[in-house]
Amino acid sequence: MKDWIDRYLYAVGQKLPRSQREDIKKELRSIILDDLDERIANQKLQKGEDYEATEEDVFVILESLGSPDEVAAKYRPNNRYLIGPELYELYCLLLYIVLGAVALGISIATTIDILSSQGPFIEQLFKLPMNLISAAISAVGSVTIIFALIQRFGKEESIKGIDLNKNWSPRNLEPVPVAYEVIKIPDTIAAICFTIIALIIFNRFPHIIAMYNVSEGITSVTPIFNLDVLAGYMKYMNILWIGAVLLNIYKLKVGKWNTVLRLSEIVIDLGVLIIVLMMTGNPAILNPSIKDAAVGTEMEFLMKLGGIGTVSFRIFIAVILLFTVFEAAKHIYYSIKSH
Amino acid sequence: MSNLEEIISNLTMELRRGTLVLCVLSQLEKEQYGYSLVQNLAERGMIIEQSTLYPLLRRLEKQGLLDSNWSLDESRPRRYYVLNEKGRRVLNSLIGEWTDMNNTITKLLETKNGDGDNERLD
Repeated sequence: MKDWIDRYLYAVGQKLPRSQREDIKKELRSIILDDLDERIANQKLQKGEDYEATEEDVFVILESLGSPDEVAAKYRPNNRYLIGPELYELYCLLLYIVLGAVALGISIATTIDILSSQGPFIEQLFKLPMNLISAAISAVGSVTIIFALIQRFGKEESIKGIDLNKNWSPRNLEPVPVAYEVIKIPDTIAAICFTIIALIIFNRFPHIIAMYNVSEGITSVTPIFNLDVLAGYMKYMNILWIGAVLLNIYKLKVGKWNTVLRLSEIVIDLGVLIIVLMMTGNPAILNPSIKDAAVGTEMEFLMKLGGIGTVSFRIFIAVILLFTVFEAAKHIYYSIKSH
Repeated sequence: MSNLEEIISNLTMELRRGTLVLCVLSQLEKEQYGYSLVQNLAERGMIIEQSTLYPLLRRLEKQGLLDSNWSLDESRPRRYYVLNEKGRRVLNSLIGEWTDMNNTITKLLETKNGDGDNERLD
């Protein structure tokens, strides 16, 4: 019978901090024995003086106390958090900062790596998301571990001292941005991704922008651009695209349009437009053999459609032109409106 | 348990939880050991689970509101708890708070919507 009490106390003790274990076990034992005395006294009243305590009596007492896990949990300090509420805000903030920094760093490093290494395009391009995912996982993991350690071993008072809202004042509240002032995060992230992909393709793999012609089971690939002429334009395009990536990252950070941002956006848009116009105005940009390659295939109509000086080509240019002018006008309008 | 009952039971538990310390401190002017304290509270209608009470006693002792000592005079060693000076001061403040709160809530519950027309709630 005593054996069951020993087992119970042992099970509770395993879940208690070592420093208090023996003391709590001693106290619990005296409580259990008090309970048991009381129960036996009651049983004697009901069933006669010669009642002998049974294992069942012990079980009833232990069950009423609760499972060893439950009992031990109540003796432990309340703050059983991986990351407690005092640290949570700071944790989230740091997580965003670290993730952002890691994403930026890995994107730049991988882009440079792809640009400077050899190998098939698709394989190279897959490096970026793979590197991003593994870096993000290890970043989240290390920040979490550090915070869990602070929570576990930090002094209670010093953890409470880390309160981000301590110096809060209503005077520092930001004005609510008007809808047209808010920078749309998904759009901005998409712009960054597409610009990086364009940077990689046009610099490192311009030959894959090509006409793929399958005849009699053999695929012939004819690049659309004259790669040497294209490279000449790319020098300027790269400056604008890298500028666009940096601008978009800055937009993510600021979260709100301002005049400087709008002007920078217009400058980059116009710059890209000018380069596109120059490229399309130069017949040497096309691969000379592209016309020969298209002749006699189902792609032939494309040459008529896309030929410089044709109506369809002018429409194409006009659309790009209109779109850029419209964007620029929009930015100027909102910029004036917000003043 | 239905959703409504569950909500009520959780809220009731929260209400009680806040008052536990006051109840326990109020019974410790004279020293008591665990079992006698449970009995004492139960006789006056305050049922507290043992597995809640004992850890609470230790916490109050750690906060310096209770003193404890092992008594070896009886058939088995028992740990006795009693209010100390700090505990008595805390108890007095808590009683004051409780009385104020009780008055406020009673007044609130007597009026519908707190709009001053003292229409009794059912």
